[in-house]
Parts: sequence; structure tokens; C-alpha cells
Amino acid sequence: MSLPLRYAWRNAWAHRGATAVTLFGVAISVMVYVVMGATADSLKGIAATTGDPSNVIALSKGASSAESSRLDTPTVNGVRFEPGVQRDASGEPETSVELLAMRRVPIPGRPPDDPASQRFVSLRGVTPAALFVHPRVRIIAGRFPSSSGELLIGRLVPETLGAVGIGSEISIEGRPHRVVGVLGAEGQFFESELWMTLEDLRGRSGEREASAVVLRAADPAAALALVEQLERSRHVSVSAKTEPEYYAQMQRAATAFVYLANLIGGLLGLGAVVAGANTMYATMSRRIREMGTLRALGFGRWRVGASLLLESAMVSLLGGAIGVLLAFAWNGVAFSIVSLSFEIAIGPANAAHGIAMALAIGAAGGFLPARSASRLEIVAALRHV
Amino acid sequence: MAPASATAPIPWYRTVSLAREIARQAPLIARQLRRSPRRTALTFLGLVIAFFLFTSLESLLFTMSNLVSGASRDALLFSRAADPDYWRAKLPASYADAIEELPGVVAASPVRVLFGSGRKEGSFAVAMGVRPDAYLKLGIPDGVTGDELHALFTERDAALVGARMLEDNDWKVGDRVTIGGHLRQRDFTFTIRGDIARGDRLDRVAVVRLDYLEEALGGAGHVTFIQVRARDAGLAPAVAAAIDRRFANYTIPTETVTEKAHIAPFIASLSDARDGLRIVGYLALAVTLLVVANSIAVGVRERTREIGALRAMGYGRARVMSLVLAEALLVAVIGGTLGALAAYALFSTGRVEVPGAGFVYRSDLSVVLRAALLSIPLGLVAGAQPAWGAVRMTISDALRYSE
Repeated sequence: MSLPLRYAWRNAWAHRGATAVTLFGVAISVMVYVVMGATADSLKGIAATTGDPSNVIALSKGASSAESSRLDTPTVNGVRFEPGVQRDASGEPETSVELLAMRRVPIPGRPPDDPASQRFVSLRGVTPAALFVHPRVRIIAGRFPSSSGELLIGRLVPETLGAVGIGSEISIEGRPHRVVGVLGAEGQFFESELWMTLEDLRGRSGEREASAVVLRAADPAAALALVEQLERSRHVSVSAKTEPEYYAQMQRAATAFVYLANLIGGLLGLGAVVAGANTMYATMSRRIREMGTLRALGFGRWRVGASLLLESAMVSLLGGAIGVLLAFAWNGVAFSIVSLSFEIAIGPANAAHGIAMALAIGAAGGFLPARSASRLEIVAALRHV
Repeated sequence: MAPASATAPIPWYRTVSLAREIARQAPLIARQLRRSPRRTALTFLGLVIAFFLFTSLESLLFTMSNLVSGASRDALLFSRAADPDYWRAKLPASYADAIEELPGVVAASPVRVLFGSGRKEGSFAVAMGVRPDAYLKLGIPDGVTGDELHALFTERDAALVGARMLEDNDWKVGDRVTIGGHLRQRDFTFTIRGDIARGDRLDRVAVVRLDYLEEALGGAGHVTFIQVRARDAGLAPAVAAAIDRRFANYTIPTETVTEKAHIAPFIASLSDARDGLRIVGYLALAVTLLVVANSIAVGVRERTREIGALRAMGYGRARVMSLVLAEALLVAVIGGTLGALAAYALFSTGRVEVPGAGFVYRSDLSVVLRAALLSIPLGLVAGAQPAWGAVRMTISDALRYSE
């Protein structure tokens, strides 16, 4: 004979004040855990989706990032005409010579000299060839910059620099630049960058010629072969990586988020376990005589305990569901850290983790009270005042 | 006049009388808390966890804002070539002498930075060439002993290396090591004579002698930047402007920024993350408030008849309410302070690092104090409803009460 689910539910309802506390605690813990986990996943996602497996990125020897790499013209030309680089219909190698820099840019409309209204932004000096080499980059509004002082901005740049769009003016190192286009890149890193012509950025960067050459190979296997060939080359001295391998380094930034998500989620969860246990103990102490009666009616020890555990799990599950629903309010919200902006995407896996966490909270919070309840002696329980 | 509502905010003079009430009724409150040790323990545990989390997050925010406004560091300035590629060592080192003569300047030290690679393939390593006498006037890095300083002054190839750089490369004091040059730059070899403590801002770099670095790499007389200490933080912006004016008509003009201005945009860029952490901290406290309120309410309900008896014996409503409020307050303050102190004990060691974020946790007693002070309103608000519940019933109803 088992106690019906309705019995557990009615009991939870009878003490709705206490139940609401547990519900609220679980919901908040689960919401925070799901949102933080999704943020970390989204951050990892950009690293994982940015780059094309058929592309190879060549940097100066020893440079760990394009921002710290510098290539001179002979090296750039040597790399561009390396055998194995795919050629277009006119026989030109499909390559993009790029210059990358990180700059402090004042938010338009705010005092330009106030450091607090400046943001770090990644600038990429490019030629139109960049659009062929990065096939997932699309101009979603306006056009490609054709002269100095023009900018193509990533779709998510307004997250960092406020309301900017076509026609806006952004000051880069004291010189005004006009936004002439907006690019989308299917969630890739490029969506938070400012693109300008290669010459324009060269003029702003002193002696730097280029920081990276992106080479398009026929397919991912050819790209790997090209990496190997460049690393061993005697003509040019560069470090080469496939694009996905290069952008995977960015996953490091996600480490801090994963750590914080686990720490905060864990501590909040532990707090919710304590709240749940407290509520269940209070419930049990109120119902000792009732439990004695149930035992006298023939319900077994473990069934009485199980009803408490069930009640705890049910309340937590409901709290977890509310928490997941609340977390979905963050879905699609844009978030920016330093020069990187991205949209938080809450996926089914994040929701499932949240529900699993809620169940764990319910089980952990209900376990000890349930064990105490199952150990009650019938006579003592019936006599309890 | 309408009677004062029981849930109205408590005026300050009532708070004082509440403190007196706590002292007088302490034995009664202590006995009440012992009555259900399990519930009390769980409530304490909930408070400790929530305040530990709150203090941890506040410590993280403290660490982040401290990167901008490190008290003694406000007086530090960086003077570099007014060129986006300033890190290409092109500023004449002789500027340092001219800067030192400007009013408000305590010390000016030329610094040449070498960006290279460490022991592991693709790893990044930084060496800073300095003139030891000028550089040490700016401040001595943490953990450097007199003997180690002496070595830097007397041995040409000596280096003081940051603890984290040592760890990253598996180097130790006494080793003779090499930083690989980028592109056409030569390799640079030096001997590690001392270590800079973890947590110091130089814990990821090697400090070497400028003359030795110039000898090894060539290009003597040009540096990456000149680090300047102004007499006090308030003078720093004026000193920065004076330096830039001094070299305005030179072939290589300078751009001088305070360290604070140098980092401020970076910290401002983390504002989303900061807001998020702050919200989470307060949410944790909100949940705890309900946990404490619930626990006290259960306790009050359990002793409804006892409270009826106290009131029959002449305890007034105000006194009974103070008793319940005092209980909530005591639990909240003790639990909250313990949690905050636990977080402080962990993070003030300077040994806990946020993985991937590249900085070490810091904390401060002001953070603990703020958390502990927050436990007072939390306790009062948590106790308000149960306190009202305790006196709501008539004495006769309370005496007849049965759950």
C-alpha cells in the first residue's frame, strides 16, 4: 500500500508558507545556475564556432595571438603564394591579409576623455577578400568600407559601444570614423569587432604591416597539410594553426565563468538544501501523530519516510521548473566582457542540468527528515503532544 | 492617535531598547535556540552559506575595483610615446631625467619591455628592463629581500622573477634561463636571483637591468615607457598634463596616463559581469531572509501556548515581540558574521585565484563589516512577521492553542 502523490501534495499545500520558502530558494538557485552555465556555454560556443576548418591562420613565429603578431611584407607575400592555398577563378590565391589591434574607443555621446566611458574594442583591418575567406560573414546592412574613415561594425558592437548604427560616428584614436555597414557572422567572434580598410588601420598602427594572413585551403585535410608545410617552411618563418584551433584558445575566458557558475550554483544549491531540510523537519514535527496513525493503519516504515521524501522532491521539482522558466527570460540577452559580446543561449542541456540540480536539492533536503520519520515508534508517535 | 502598527519600521531608539532587551533576555533566548538544536543548526548553516557566498562575491567585486583604485597606486603614471605602437621601445630614456625635474614628481624610471616566449612552445613571457636605483624609488615589489635587491644592483644578468612566471615555466631561483625572441628579435638569457610574491602586480614578469637588456638586444637609449610616481594621487592628473606639455614639441611626444586611467576602460568593460555578480549576492541574501523568517516562525508557532502563558504572567506585547525579534537578530548576526569571516579568512590569504581570469582574490575587513551590518536588517525583517504572529492571538486563544 503506497501513499498517493496527492497526499504529499496536500501536505505541501497545507504549509504553503514554508513550502513557498523552499520553492523560492530552489527556483533562485536553479535560475542562477542555469543562467551562469548557459553564459559559460555560450562563451565556449563562440570559441568553438568561430573559424572555418578549411582556413589556416599564419602569425609571426612565437606569437600567441593575432594582436601580438607582426608580419612584414616579404613574409606576407611568401605565405600568400605558398602551394596548397586555394586559388580563385582568376588564379589569385584566396587569402586575407589582416591587421588586428585592441584599442580603447570612447562610447559615442559620452565624454571622450573619461576613461570610464571608453571600452576596449577589437579592430580588424581587412580587404574585401576577407568576405571570401570568412564565408559565414555577411553584410546585413549597408556596405563594405571602401576608404579611410569608414567602418563595418559587428552586429553585437552596440552591446559595448551603446546605440551605434549606420551613419554613427565612432572616434578611433581621435579620428572620426563613420559606420557604413553592419556585419553578421552566425555567432562568431567577428560580431563584436570593428572592421576597417587595411590601409586605414595600418596608418593608425605605426610600423605594423599585418598581423595575420588567413589562407583558404581546398578542404579541412588540405588545411592541416598546409599548417604542417608552413611550420616546416624554409622560405617563411611563421606559426600556423587552423582557424578552429586558434580560436579554441579563447575558451580560457570561459574557464572563469564555469568556475563561478559551479561555485555560486553549488553554494546556492547547498543553501536551498538547508532550507528544504528545515522545512521538512518542521513538517515532520507537526505531523508526528499523523504519521503514527498512518503506521497504525498499516503503512510501512519506509512508506511513511518515502512520502516525506516525495513531498520534498515534488516541491523542489516545481521550484526547479520555475527556476528554469525564469532563466529563459535571459535567453537571447546580450552580454559583454571586455571586447567580446555575445548572446546568452539557454539550451535544453542547461535546462536539464537545472532540473537535475533541483531534484538533487529535493533528495538531499528530504533525506534526513525522511529517515527520522521512518524511525518513529508507533506508540510514542501516537502519544506525541 | 492610531496605535503604532506592529510591522512599522523600528525607530532607532527602539533599536537601542532592543539591544538592552537582548542582553536581559539572553538566557531565555539561548534556551529557546537550544530547544530545537537541529533547526537552529540548519538555520545557522543557511546563514553561514549565504553570507559566505555574499562576501565571496563582494570580495571579487572588491578585487576588481581595487585593480583600478589601488590606494598607493593612484600616484603612479605611465608616460609612453604618443603612438599606438608605443610598446615598440621608441621613447628616449633621457626623458626620465627631464621628468624627474618637473614639480610634483617623486621618481621617474625608464622601463623597456621585452615580449618573448617562455619555456613552453607558444607561451608568452615578459621581461622589464629597469634602472634598479630609479625603479625602486617607485616601490619595492612584494616578497623581495635585501639580498635579492643587492644581487640586482651588483650582478649584471640578475633578475627578479614573478612567482607565477616561475610556476608557468617550471623555473626556480638560481636557474639561468632564456626568453625566446619574437620575429627577428634576439633571445634573452638571465639568471634568476630572486622571486616576487604572488599577488604583486609584477608576479608575471621578470625584472632585469636595463643596461644588460640593452646590451643583449641593442637599441640603447630607447625605452617602452617611463613610469612616474607623483607626490600624491591628487597631483597625478596635473603631473600627467605637465609631462605631455614638456615634450609636446619634441619629435616623439608623450602620452601620459595614470595607472587608474590605464585600467579603467578594462574594468568598465566588465560592468555586465559585475552587475550580474552583485544581483546574485543579493538574491542569496533574499533567500536566506526567508529561511530565517520561516525557521523563527516555526519556533514561535511551536511555543504559542508558552507565549500565552508569558503574556498571562504580565509580559506586554512589545516585550514578547522584542523577544522574538531579538532571537532572529541574534541568529542572523552570529550566522552572518561567521559566514563573512569564513570568506575573509579564505580570500584575504591572496592565494585563491579565479581560474582563467588571471587575478588573485583579495578581500578586506570593510567587506566583512558591510556583510555583518547587513545581517542586522536581515534579522529584523526576518523576525518581523513571526513577532507579529506571536502576539496576534488573544491570551486565551494562545493558551488553548493546539497544532
